[in-house]
Amino acid sequence: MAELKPDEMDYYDQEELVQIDYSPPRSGWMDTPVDFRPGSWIYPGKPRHLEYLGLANPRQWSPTDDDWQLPPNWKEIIFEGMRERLDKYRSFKIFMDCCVRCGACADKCHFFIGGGDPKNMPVLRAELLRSVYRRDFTTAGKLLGRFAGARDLTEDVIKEWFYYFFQCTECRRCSVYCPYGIDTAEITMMGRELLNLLGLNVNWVIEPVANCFRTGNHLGIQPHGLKDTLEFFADDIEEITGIRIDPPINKKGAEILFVTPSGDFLADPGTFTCMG
Amino acid sequence: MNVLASFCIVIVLALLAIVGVQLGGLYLLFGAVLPYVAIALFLGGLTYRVVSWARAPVPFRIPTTCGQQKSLPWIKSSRLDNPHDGVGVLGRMALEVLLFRSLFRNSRTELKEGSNKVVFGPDKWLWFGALLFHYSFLVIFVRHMRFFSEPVPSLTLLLQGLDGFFQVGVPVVYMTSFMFLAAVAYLFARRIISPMVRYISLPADYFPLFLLLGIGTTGVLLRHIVKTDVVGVKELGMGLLSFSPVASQDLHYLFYVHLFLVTVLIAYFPFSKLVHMAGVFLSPTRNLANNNRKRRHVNPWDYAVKTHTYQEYEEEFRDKMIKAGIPVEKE
Repeated sequence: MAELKPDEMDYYDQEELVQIDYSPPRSGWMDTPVDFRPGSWIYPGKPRHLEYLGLANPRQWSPTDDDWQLPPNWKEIIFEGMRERLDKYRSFKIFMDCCVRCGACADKCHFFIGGGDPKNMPVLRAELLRSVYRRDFTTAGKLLGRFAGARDLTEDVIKEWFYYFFQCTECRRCSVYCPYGIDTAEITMMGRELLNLLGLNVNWVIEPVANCFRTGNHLGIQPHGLKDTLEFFADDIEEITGIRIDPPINKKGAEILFVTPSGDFLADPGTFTCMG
Repeated sequence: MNVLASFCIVIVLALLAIVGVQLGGLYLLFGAVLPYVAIALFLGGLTYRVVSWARAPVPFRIPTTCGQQKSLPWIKSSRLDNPHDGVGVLGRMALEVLLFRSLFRNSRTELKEGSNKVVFGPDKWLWFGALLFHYSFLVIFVRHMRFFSEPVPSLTLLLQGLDGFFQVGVPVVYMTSFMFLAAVAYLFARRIISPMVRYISLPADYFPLFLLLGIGTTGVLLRHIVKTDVVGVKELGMGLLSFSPVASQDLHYLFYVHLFLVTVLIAYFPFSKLVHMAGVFLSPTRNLANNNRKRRHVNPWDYAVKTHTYQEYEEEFRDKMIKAGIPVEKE
């Protein structure tokens, strides 16, 4: 049998997937390196999209590479990026300082409930960032280091950030249970912004963004393709109803501007909305 | 490892006080100088923290919404869980600060033994332990005001009366002393017993708990076993307040251990997670009204968003547009 790939359904063994274990590993979380298990990470943003948007460090890379080809001054970029965001967002600052690690949020995240990876407990996911914040921005962290829960910023920390900060759907359920309202959504957003400064993005985000910016729709359909699609819809309508319509595009002086979600050009039932 | 290190540090601190007072005779250092330094650090550090929080803007008004938002009059909205005005926010904050409402909501997720079923259940223990700890600490704090003022404040006398209501033993046993120790012991035990909470716990989580256990234990010993000279203690307290400290040499060394651990706690406060005391009031996800649809809020540092104009679009696709028969601005 040919070797199965992570994007093939048979690669995943159902029985194995439902085996969840909530007991954490023996080694402490600071000493447990991230394991980029195939199928558990999102493909990185392609360089041409980054170039189109004018974002930092466009290059071909993969999370499984040893060398992520970070810019030479990457530490400085993260440090400055954090400082800038701490000055811009009160929430970020307070959320970095206030957590008491009571664990109320721990079993509220669906990534943790469904997977059992302890770093997907909201408190620990935030702690990945907080530990670096303490080292660089707090007196206690500078003086006491690990005793105060601080750790150095290394490339491994960046890899960990990439792996876990994108394992958050920004649902804010943890924030409901937190006695201080600490919102992991805001924390992972900050983390993703910092990663973006180093050119670490996921293609699921960066390609639609580049497409929207360039063509006005997330699929990257160019004007002539859009016209074809609409004509195809018109054919369908004629076939079913017998009425031929001619959808005007880019018509000057039109009284009505119809904007359909860009997904409506691609898949049912959105296409029916567009036809309607 | 984390536990042991934190425990050892607290023991060393206690020994430091004993050695300093018994062998070094540093009564004034432990009785006056260090407390002053600690209070200065506390006030300065906490002010710095709060000011630095308050100075950072809140660009987006995104409070946590735990209930139906206020919209049309016939849709019932949740005023406390999704406040739309100041009154709602006040209610939400009061319940949060005074009764720890978010913790009251707490639930537990478990895997059923032997199967892969996830089950959810209520879990009020953390809420109860936290509430017990904070309130008994508050009562104990107010009770201690008797050492700093003559006449003793009436609130102190009132709480003292209630606290020792059962009049057990001489001197009277205060209920909160033991509630406090039990609550701290519980908060410590859950960090050890629950594998998840143990995994997330840092030395900085165990250290304050051991410190509080040390303070509580020495406090109880001083009152019930050693029966320290309370007049001497009051002289020291009043002296501290009037900036003419007198550190008595007749006081039991355990008193200096007690005082030194409190000193460390006060000094440690603004540099640790204990700042949650102030942070809870400033958390933007709780103290803002969710009125985005009613009122416009402008981001104070709003930046110029990079745009892509129609002209640029046409420039890129003009040939294709003309070929497809789509009207263009510039032929």
